[in-house]
Amino acid sequence: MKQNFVNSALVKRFSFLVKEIGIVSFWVLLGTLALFGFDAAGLLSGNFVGLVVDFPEVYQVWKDESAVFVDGRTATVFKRGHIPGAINIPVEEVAKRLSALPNDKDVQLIVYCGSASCPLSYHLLKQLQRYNYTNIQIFQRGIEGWLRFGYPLQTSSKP
Amino acid sequence: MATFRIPSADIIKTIKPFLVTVVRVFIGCLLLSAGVSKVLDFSSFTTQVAFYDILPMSTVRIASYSLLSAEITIGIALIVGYFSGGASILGAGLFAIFITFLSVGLLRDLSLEDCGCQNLIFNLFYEDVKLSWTIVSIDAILLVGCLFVAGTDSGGYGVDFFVRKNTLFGE
Repeated sequence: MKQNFVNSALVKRFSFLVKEIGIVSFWVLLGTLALFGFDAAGLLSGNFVGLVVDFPEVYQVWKDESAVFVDGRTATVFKRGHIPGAINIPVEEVAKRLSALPNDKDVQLIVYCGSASCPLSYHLLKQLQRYNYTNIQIFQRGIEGWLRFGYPLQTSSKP
Repeated sequence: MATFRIPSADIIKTIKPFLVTVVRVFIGCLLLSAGVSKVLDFSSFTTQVAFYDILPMSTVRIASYSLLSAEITIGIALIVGYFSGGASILGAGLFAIFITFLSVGLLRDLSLEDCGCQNLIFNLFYEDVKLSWTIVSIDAILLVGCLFVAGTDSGGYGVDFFVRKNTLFGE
């Protein structure tokens, strides 16, 4: 008798929790749709689609020379191989190397580093934003992705 | 001779609802503040999610919407104590996702100066929260807190208590 009571209480509690999870999940889904709508209407800060650039757009931009590529790695690694035409601005030397960038703060900058798991380009983006550069994108795959797709590298160039 | 007396079941029964309420509201405030601050800096958050390199790039955006929506919805539900059982279970799931992301990032030696873990408490101490095992441990504690709340309902001081005559415990 007591066992049956415990079992039914447990079942009741479990079904109650499942029901509540369902209701909260429904609200989460509605929230997701609302955020999607806000983003589509341009109400969220920044635009992710514009922030991260990938193939094939990145190659097109490089070919058209419509953006400045900025390499966040150290000068030594940069000299070993980088995207042709890229400027080297190591993350720890942003203030010192800022003169290498165009004065126009609206110029399109594409920052990158070694590979997808390298955080340098993200730090570079944050630092350049502090210097009021507004049109910055991240090429997240970095040099590793660039090579994997068979695109050319430039070596031993001045930073 | 002084003797140590174990608090009686009555005292525990009195304290427990207060404790549950405090834990519930605290976790709710953390989640809500985290969600709102990330919505206000949405592009940075999505970039951080992309940098963990766990999700395919095409799904990062929708995952970011879902994570933020979950943080805000669960945060509000926990603060007001409405559907708090379900909200805290989902909150535990959310912290499990955060722990997975952070652990994978740490195991890959991803030295993010800003791990995308900003919230009311962390922001009091740091401008950017660095990816570290300390943050993983804090998330694990919060996960346990969510399970504690899930196992004890809203503690009797939430909207649940006023809306329903019978709570999970049949009170």
